[in-house]
Amino acid sequence: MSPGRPALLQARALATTLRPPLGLGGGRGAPGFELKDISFSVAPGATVALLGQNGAGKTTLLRLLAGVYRPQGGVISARGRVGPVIGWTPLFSPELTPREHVRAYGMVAGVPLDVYDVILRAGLDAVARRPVRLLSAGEQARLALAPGLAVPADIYLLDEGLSLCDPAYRAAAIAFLRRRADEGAAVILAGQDLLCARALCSRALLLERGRLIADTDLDTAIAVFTAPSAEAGPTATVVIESVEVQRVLPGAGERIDVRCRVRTGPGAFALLVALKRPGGGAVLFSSRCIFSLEDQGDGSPARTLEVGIPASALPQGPYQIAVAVTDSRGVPLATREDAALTPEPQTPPDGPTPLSPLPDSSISLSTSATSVARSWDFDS
Amino acid sequence: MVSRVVLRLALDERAARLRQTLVGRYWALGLPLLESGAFTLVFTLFVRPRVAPVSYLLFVYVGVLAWRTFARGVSAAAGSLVRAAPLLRQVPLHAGVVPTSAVLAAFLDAGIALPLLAAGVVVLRGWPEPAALALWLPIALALQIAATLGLGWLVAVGNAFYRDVGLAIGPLLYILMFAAPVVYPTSVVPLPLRPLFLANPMAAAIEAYRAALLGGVPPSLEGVGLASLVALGLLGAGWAALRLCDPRLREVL
Repeated sequence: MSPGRPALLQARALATTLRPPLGLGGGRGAPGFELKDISFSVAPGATVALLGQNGAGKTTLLRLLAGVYRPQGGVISARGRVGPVIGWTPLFSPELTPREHVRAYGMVAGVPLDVYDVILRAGLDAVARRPVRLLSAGEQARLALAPGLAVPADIYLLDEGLSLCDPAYRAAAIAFLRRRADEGAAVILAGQDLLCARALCSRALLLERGRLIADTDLDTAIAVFTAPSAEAGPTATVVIESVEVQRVLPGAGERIDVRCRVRTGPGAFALLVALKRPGGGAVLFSSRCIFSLEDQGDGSPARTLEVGIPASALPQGPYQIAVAVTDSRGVPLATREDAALTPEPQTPPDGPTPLSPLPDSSISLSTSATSVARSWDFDS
Repeated sequence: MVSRVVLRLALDERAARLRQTLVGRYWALGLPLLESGAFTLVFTLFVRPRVAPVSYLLFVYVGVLAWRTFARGVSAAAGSLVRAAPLLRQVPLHAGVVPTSAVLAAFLDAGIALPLLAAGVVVLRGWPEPAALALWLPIALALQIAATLGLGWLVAVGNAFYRDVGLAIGPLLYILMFAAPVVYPTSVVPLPLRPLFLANPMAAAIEAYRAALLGGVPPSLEGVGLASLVALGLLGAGWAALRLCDPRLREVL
């Protein structure tokens, strides 16, 4: 925390124990999950990733900070309004429509929300009158996030939700949170999506089995978080053989397809594709796909994977595409940042336009200020 | 502000319950009528009360409507905290708001049937006596609201910790209906048992409704006093349970 800037949020020696209910291993004297000795402070403008393995206590800590759970020890002091925990599932009955959800959310949060505006920003206007149970998982995740972000807060508490949204909405949500941080709000993002954390946060709290083991800059925390544990097996050898980028014309879905040829040993992996500003700037888009390869006894098999990047919600400017392959724990095994695009292609009447890789160039997007439809414009 | 949240959640609970139905809100009109018709058929055919079927239908309709509202409110409240787990685990909303809105939704349902009841009373019995209406209707409503809310809060908290409560409450309420003057008048209850009978706030409330609307024999003052004590006791116990258990119950939802 910088001197002279009083903390927005402070936790001192925070502790609580969650015991399962009777009949489910609970009861007097039964062991419970213990969160203990949690002390940290969050300054205005701070963007903090809350990292930890499953069951480390991230969600419990967020609920304590939001006032949903009452700590059994320690003190939480907040200056300004602490927002609700923003998760990944809608809060109300799946029989209600997104409009009804947003209206009810505003009511319980104590802030009248502009239902139409929230629905529009979440891109749910086409399904606004449909019961939530009929929405896709991604749409439900957007519905969970959108009203939470629309509630004015000085401290935003996010629990995993960003990872489940489609890339365009995720980029827009991250941009919104960065803007709010620039205005002096604080953001705490819990989860294991390191791409989201890198795109938004500069600092991290690392939890392990209910204890705060690190309060440090994001890179250090990620290095600790992703360090192979002693019981982990040997790290697989992974090679990203090629990265091809194709432009799909606006009429065919307004997106850029990134095709990666990856050679790995057997196992489960994740391919991460990020769109960022040249020179290591902020990640404006990220997508992840999980894949696995079986050991076929003929050496390391290769596989081609494809990720689509939608044009919407991306502001005008040059971009670079970074590709990484991680193991199932999120440890990076191979990265590549030389994917790039040629200038404006010879546009065929329909279908994808293949673009050849260049050693060091960028993609530039331009959007029409008066039209919702994006016009794509490439330069080197 | 809290009252607006309660009303919003109650309206949304009804909207969710009635989604994808053909008859919609009119189920609240049809079901008590159907139930009253069935009781009338059985009791006038086999038990042969000394009243005409139409009068008995009106008599039993008042009881059924009041009891159904109570039972619907309590059973909806029982499961309400569990159903609202996602909300209560993310928003620091007072837990009592949720079962209260479930109870309110049951009363809103009853409101749909009120015009039919009013029309039935006026057509079959004439306009109610204003003095009886002014005296007994508020007493009946107060008893019913206090009993439904108090018991609703209690079973909501109980069900958060032990799901047995939610499983048992429906059949128990059905059995308890026969311990209240829904299908028979209090006058048939043996005198020694009557104080115990009227200690049930819903028994006193139903008798008070009938006194207000049908000019029936009102409950005794002792009965009303005892029922009021029990209703206030339920209300206090329910509120205390919510206050004591609120932080803990969110952890077990």
